[in-house]
Amino acid sequence: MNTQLETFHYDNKMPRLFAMATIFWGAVGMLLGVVIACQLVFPALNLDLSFLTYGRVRPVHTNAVIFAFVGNGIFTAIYYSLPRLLKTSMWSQRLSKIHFWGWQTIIVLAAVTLLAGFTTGKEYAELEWPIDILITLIWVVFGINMFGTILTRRERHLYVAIWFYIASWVTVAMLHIVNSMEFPVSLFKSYSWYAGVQDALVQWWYGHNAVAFFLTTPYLGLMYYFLPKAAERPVYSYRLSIVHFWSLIFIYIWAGPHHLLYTALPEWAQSLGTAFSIMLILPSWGGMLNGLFTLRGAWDKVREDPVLKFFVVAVTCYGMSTFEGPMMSLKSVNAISHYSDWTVAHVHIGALGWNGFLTFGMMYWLIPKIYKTELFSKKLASTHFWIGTLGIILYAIPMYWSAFRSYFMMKSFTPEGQLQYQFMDIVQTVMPFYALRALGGLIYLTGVIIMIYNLVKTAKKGSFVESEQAQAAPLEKNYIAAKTAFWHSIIERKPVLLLTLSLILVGIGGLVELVPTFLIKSNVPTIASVKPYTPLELQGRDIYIREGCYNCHSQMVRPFRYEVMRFGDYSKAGEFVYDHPFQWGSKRTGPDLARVGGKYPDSWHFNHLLEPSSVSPGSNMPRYPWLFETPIDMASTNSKIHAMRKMGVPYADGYEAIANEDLKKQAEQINTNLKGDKIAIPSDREIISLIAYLQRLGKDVRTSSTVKK
Amino acid sequence: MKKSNLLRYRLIASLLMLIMPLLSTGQTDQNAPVATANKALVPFDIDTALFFIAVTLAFVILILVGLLRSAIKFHFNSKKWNDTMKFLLPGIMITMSYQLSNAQQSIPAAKGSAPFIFSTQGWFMLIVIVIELYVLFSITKWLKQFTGIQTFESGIVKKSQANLWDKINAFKPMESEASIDVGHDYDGIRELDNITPPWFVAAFAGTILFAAVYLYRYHVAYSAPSQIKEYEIAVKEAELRKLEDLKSQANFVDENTVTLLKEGEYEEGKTIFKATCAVCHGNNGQGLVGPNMTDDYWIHGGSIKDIFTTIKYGVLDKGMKSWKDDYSPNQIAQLASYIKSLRGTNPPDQKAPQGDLYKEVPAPVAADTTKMKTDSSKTNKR
Repeated sequence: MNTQLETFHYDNKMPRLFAMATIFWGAVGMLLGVVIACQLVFPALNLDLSFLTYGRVRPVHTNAVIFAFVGNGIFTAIYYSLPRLLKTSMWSQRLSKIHFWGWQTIIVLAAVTLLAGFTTGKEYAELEWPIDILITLIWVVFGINMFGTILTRRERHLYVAIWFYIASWVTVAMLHIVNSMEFPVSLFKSYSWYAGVQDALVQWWYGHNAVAFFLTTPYLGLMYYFLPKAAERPVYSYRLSIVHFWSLIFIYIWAGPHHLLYTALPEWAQSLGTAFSIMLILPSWGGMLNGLFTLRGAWDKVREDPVLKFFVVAVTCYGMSTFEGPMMSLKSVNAISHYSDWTVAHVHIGALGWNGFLTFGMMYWLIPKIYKTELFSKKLASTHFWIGTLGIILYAIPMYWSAFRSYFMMKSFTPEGQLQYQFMDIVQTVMPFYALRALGGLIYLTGVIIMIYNLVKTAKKGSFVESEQAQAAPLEKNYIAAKTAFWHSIIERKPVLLLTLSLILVGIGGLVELVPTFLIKSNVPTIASVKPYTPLELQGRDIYIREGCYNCHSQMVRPFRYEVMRFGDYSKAGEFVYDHPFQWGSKRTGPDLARVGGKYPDSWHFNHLLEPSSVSPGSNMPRYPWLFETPIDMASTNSKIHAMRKMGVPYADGYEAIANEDLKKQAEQINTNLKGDKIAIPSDREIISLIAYLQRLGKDVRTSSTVKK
Repeated sequence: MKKSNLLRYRLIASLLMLIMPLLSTGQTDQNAPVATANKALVPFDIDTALFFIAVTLAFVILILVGLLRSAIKFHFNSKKWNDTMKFLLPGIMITMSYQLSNAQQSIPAAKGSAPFIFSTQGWFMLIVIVIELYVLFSITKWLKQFTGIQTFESGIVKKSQANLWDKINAFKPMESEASIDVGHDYDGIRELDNITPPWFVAAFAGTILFAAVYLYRYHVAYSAPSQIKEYEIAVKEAELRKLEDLKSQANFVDENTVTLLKEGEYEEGKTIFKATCAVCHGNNGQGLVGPNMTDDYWIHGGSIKDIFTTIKYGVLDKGMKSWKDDYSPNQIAQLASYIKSLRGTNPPDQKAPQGDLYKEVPAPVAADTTKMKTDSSKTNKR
């Protein structure tokens, strides 16, 4: 009946383009990583240029590695494997091109705007609203192209790799849209729709699941295609695939709050984060087991084949991080790891080991394939493997070490009950480890450069196959499943059902955590003395966000004796109700700033931002000379106040019109204070507003309790 | 060849035995921190963390030892190892274990005060971890050697009886793979229908149970403390410890008992001044952001008690922070005395005088001090 075979083509041009983009952005992202690692050791490397300071470059590094390197890696894998797994061509060559060029445009725009200081201040979602919209559009283009391909397939059942592609696509769409809800103030400035605790929860629900559904699940799909291909072995267990796919996507989405343990987030949400993180271990390991056990009987090949070597280490690193992650979600361990270099080590085991090595393995397999030749040098590939491994080790170990050292120093008391070490002592102690870490990164990058050379040579040696012809019969119209077929195969032949089920499953966790935090008042007890920021402070806060201060400074004192003594009383949920966006931070390279207001005189902050080492010797903070030259953007005050009021910040009606008068008054006051300390600066400079903001931090609560007592 | 193998086996046996006492001492050791933690209702402690690392490593070692055992068994089977050796080995193991467990006992005895920030238990656990790491390293090395002689790909392994690794994972023999092929073919990728490893299912169930108990304890039974409670307990404990410590300290000083120290007694004060105070008050106390310390004018009083108070509680409104959490009473006393010693040193670049002229008359100042004290303690409580 249907023996008539149809002829069609597998395109290799798009995978090749995406592969080149992957490698290019990977090298750029890693280079930026090395640069910022060096900046932490030698602050002079910030060169006193606004667009080269750590606070602005670090988001470019993270975004480049996640969305440019891994993002393009995902697309390479999908554009190569999806048509082959479905016996069809990609649905639309035009959409493929729009997708490719659109995504690269986003990356370039992202890099330029982030360096220019346009940022929303939310980690891994820093891009401003016009780019957010562009991302949504391109993501939809990608989705249409993917689903068009799936719906015109010649293979009835979807392979496990495609389940992961579908779930990743729909979840990333959901996460991006919900977390990017922002109120535009101007073309390149917006405020997060959510404030304080809610913003934190949404952000880490997003942040954690960006790791899950951007760095993990699509790469599991990638693994499920390329690993059995390279090993020429059958996938170990179909059943395990089913179990770990569904449990993984369902449980992953809940775990976000483990980024906020011991913070002002309601404790029930924290506990859900911990509980689900622990339950996540085995679903994650399912992927590792299926990968490693697939190699059963192929271990002799692993010794010879660099592709498989990369895959083995990648999958092992995946297993390590997915065990380490849940451990770090235990409260007691999190007390050590949070805000520390441990988290940095953890993500880099994942990024360098899992994503990096899987990508490299894929490239060493794919490029010779599409150029119809052998790899130029297996030996160089093996060298890359060893150099890369060494790089990871040299990166991770110093970070773990520094995390533990600083933790012990942070919490050690003298017998009299005083803190034994100043924060600066800790900064000084970890410096050598930071230097080693930069070296580890550099070594890893060297490996990538060796790979580029090897792949270019391979391409030169072979000849590029633009497309491959294939034949397959179309799907029969009236399909009757065999009676013995496993029930799950029903879902496998209904992609829309699979999509819907995935969305429902990932939706549950999000709804249960987010909705009560927004709706139930008791989750964020109000504090009467907490007032909206003055116009000057608001402008200062925007400068704080623009310069990426949150990359090194937290604003969240956890209820630990050693933190309260060092930074001030622990933070309460009600303090952050006007913080659009929240600025709790996730890493303390510098001290916490939640209660820095009033701790030092205005002139201290002035000197500190001009030349940090003048008032805190040994500091690795960069200098911010441009803040002393640029005037405050007073034209924006009106729309900023307006936007804030629209989001529920209680400024009086019509206040935006007179806000600049208050701003000037407060600026004059600070100017006078500075004059008292023999510092002369025009009162319209950005530094004045930043000082105003810093001096405000934590003050509301302080005055309130003094009044009460 | 055989001789070196024997040596290897002996070593492995001894290492094996090394782990057992370690595990048991590890367990008894765990009781200590956990007991105190329970009392304190603080579930975390660095010792406990180290203990968990140690146990995890021990677990890994156990798995690897199982692997090693099968590897050795296989190795000797194929080498036709003679039976006499098999008979002898248990004897060797027993003697080794006896000696080593004895050696083990001596480690906890070697206490001594920890120069670093670890507790004795912490040190002990650290040693355990180091030994465990060493064992791990050795086991992997031997595993490689044993399996390296007869490589797995030759297929002999599969023919010999299923090893522990295979059993744990419920592996099907490679030959019967065809029987569990689900018949899928996706671009040449086939899929097998191996069962999910039993330990995987058990562990998954275990984590779900953990999650349920965790949520129950924190949010239904309230048998685990909230984070604020944890904090309060920690502070209370610290206060008690501090009190005890202060009682035992003969030279405890506060703003009421502080006296001017003689030259040579305040060396540490000088060091602290140069490191910390100089940032605002100038390297020679000439004043920068903060006031001049060398003239006769004082904003908050110039008696030794005043200065002690100002340092201890700070004057938050003027940018002087409280240093009582950073320095001990003794250190503050030395600092205050050093500052007094700066009077009249007349350094260059002096800041203009601020505050009131202070004359060395102790009586009226005392009243001032008490006022200051209440003021600042109020701001400090917040």
